[in-house]
Amino acid sequence: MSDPLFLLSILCAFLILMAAGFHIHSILLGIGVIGLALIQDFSIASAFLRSDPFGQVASYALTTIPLYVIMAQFILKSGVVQDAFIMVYKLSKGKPTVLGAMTVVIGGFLGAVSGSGAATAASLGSVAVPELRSYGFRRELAGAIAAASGSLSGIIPPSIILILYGVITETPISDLFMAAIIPGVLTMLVFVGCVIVMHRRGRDVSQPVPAPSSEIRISARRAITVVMVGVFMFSLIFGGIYLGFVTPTEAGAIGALGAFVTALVLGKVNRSFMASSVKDTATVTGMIMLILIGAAIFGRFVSFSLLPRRILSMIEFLIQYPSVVLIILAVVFFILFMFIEGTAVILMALPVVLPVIQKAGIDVLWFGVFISVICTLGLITPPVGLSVYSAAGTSGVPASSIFGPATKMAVAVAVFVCGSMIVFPELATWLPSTVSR
Amino acid sequence: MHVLNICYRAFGFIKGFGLVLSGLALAGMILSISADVLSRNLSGNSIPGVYEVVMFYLMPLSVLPIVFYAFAQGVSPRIPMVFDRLPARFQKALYLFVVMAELLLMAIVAFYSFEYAVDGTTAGHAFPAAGDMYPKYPVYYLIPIGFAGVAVELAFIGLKNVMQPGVWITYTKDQATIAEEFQV
Amino acid sequence: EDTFNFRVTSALSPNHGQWQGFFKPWMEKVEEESDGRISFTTFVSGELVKATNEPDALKQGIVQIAAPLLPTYDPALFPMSEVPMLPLAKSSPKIGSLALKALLESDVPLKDGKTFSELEYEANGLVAIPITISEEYSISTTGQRFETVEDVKSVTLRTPSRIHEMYAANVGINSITMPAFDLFDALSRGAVDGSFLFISDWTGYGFDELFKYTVTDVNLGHFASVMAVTEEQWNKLPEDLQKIMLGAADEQITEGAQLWVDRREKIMKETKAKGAEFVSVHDLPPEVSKLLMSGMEQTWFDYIAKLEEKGLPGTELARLWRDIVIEQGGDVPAAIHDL
Ligand code: NA
Ligand code: NA
Repeated sequence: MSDPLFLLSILCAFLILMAAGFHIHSILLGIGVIGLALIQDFSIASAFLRSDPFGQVASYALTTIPLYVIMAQFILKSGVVQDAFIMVYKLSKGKPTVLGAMTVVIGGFLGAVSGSGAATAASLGSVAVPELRSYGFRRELAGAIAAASGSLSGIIPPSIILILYGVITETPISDLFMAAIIPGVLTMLVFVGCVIVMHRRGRDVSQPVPAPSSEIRISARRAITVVMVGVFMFSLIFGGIYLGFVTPTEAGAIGALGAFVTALVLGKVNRSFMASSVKDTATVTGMIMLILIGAAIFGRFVSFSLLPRRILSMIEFLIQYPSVVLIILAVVFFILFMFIEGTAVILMALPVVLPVIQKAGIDVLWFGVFISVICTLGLITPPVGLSVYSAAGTSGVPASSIFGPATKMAVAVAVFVCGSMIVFPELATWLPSTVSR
Repeated sequence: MHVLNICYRAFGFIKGFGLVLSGLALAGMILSISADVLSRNLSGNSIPGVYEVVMFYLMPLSVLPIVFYAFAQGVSPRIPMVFDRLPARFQKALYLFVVMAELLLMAIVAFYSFEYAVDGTTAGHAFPAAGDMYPKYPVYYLIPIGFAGVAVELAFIGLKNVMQPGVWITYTKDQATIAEEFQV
Repeated sequence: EDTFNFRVTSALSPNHGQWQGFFKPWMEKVEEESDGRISFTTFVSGELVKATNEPDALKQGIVQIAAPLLPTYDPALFPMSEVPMLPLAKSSPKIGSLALKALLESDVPLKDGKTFSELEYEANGLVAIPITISEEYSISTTGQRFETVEDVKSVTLRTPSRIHEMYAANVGINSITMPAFDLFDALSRGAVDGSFLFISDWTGYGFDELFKYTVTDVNLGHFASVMAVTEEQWNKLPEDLQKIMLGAADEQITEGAQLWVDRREKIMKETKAKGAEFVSVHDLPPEVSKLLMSGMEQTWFDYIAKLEEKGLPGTELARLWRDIVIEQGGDVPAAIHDL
């Protein structure tokens, strides 16, 4: 089978199974198993099925997923978030767009402590979506804001993708982190812009308009509690990480403990608090794990088929036109990241792309940030968008409706951020160059 | 139908047991990582073995015994845009086919991961931590348990669809309920 | 004539010294010398097989060659393969690599009349082909100097293996375990003071910008690794192709070792220019140097005890390794001479 035909049949299989109503994890798993059986034989599929699921789960880095999720549950169930949103709403003089923008900025801050876009999106889905909804955001936009804000963890350092890229290409990781700051902030700003534009275009009239700010009363005691909890969690996580007490992975556990202590102090902890926290955490992490296991098998199939390296070798002849190569690569990666989990794409495509990049004279450091931006967008594009699924799982807004606005945001970032990175490479290369090495 | 409901409730106990296990493992993870961080910052020494125990025991224990509970909640993403617009009679037949195909897939994963667990038991797979060896193979069985659990859940859903009118996406929620729940 | 296309898995990144220095040129040589009868499809950075899962992947036919197999991560399957990680008084990448080769080829019976290779690899249905192994480990910190015994005892280092844990315990260094991915972050934020690592591997993780102080000449062992093929696959190969593969490996071992030496020199030169210090263990204050060296001997005895506890021939293995290392021009800590 020729490569384009092969690619097309994978795509068709995906769409048909989706239309038939299969769950995403089954689609990934099913195409992976059948694909492996077709290109080799069933024994190779079963060989991967034996050990990959366990290998996927037994990971220290993945502890951030259940831990960030349960941290969000603890905070949410102690009622602080609702108060926080009321306060910000009051301060913003009743402008809901400020709340939307604030959610994105919170996502950016969370991104600075978390490497995983799925974990932060899950937290924001449960914490921010109900609040955004009650201030008049359409449910799909509220979900998309949570998903997009959560996805920022993928590009704002520390980021698993940047670390992986650094290790594979032997690019200094601190340079990559520095280089990602401006594009990361730009991505955040583009998301904020999207929130403002998309919210103006259609607010949810079915929701009651919240009372004018002067009429909402929040007692001084509750306001002080909100501020204290905020300062406590912020210093625990950020202070812990930036003063060197904890690593970002460990911050998940420390944050969860801190949030639990907070709930304890506020007198919220009882049997139902514990039971519902564990249940809600189980629902989200179980869902993410099923997808990750399916994605692992699907990724093995794509690797094994050698398709990415063959496609990329087809464009090798374009090397004398670096910007053409870049635009093609951006499109190819955008598509790969749509379907396949981010780290898997990096692992399967980078060994092939890297020589092309180097031959075309493209800066490897710059390219790492470029590809990480695109990877971050993969978290919010259909059909496989882990941040969207996480936000959907915790907020109850269906993933299929979130994908609409989320994809628009992704395209906006792809055009504005990736475009300006191509036009002004200094956006990534300038910061690292200011540090004497 | 009555019998099926009784069986499903019995299966619910197993889910509850998985939740308790997962909750304990989560608590263990939070406490042991926090204790490790504390110990490192106070004495400069991390607690030997915490890293490995979290990775090989607590992480699988906290996320695997609950996959079938999670699946039963109906949050596992599917994109029902096309499905929901199909003719009603066709929907049921199609969903039954989907349920059976997914059941087969989950059973396949359960089967091969079980085979791996048995092989691992025979070979005595272990991980080194704090200067000693700890058996790894017992946690291998959580994968087949989790996937077999999803398969059983799918079997319940399939039977419910056969015995009751309507399209039941999960055992307790039909299409309309799922759509409505997600509207909130 | 039969042709063979082998799927090769590697947990290494394509720029890693062992991949560039050994596996890549080895495969090129084999493809050329076999006139294309042997070809390779490579999957690096653990793309196809997760690191530590290589033995199962070989057995299941996911890949035919593990390049490399890392036996130290699986002491249940390869209980004696950590031996090259024992600290040495004198070594080099070449000495370490040739010593491991000699150990794999040794016909000295260790237990039940069986040799090292038979006990470790044949018993698992594998053929182990000797390769260039790592440069010897040093101790590096982000700045903390070893000027007093107290300095040594207050430092917290990441330990990459059981043997390094034993050594750390013996000299009173605090040890922590974490993945190499997290180490960069932990080091840059001061959660960890340093690590046991070999200098030529620094650039792979960006550590060249973090380590400011390194104690050299402590030779804290070599990271053991082999190239592995299943016996079943190996026996399917005609003898002439087997010879080509082994011969190419023989040639490449020393060239691969040279790459470590060159990389190390380059990294030392570049990092020195940015203020990194490299201090020989012999130039440290005598009580510090004595502490660091004495820890080495005890580590050998601890390792032997650990093996014998499990009914394995610890003393015999240690003696064999000692003799081989000395034969290759290296040396072991003084007390081990009288073992
Ligand atoms: Na991040
Ligand atoms: Na996507």
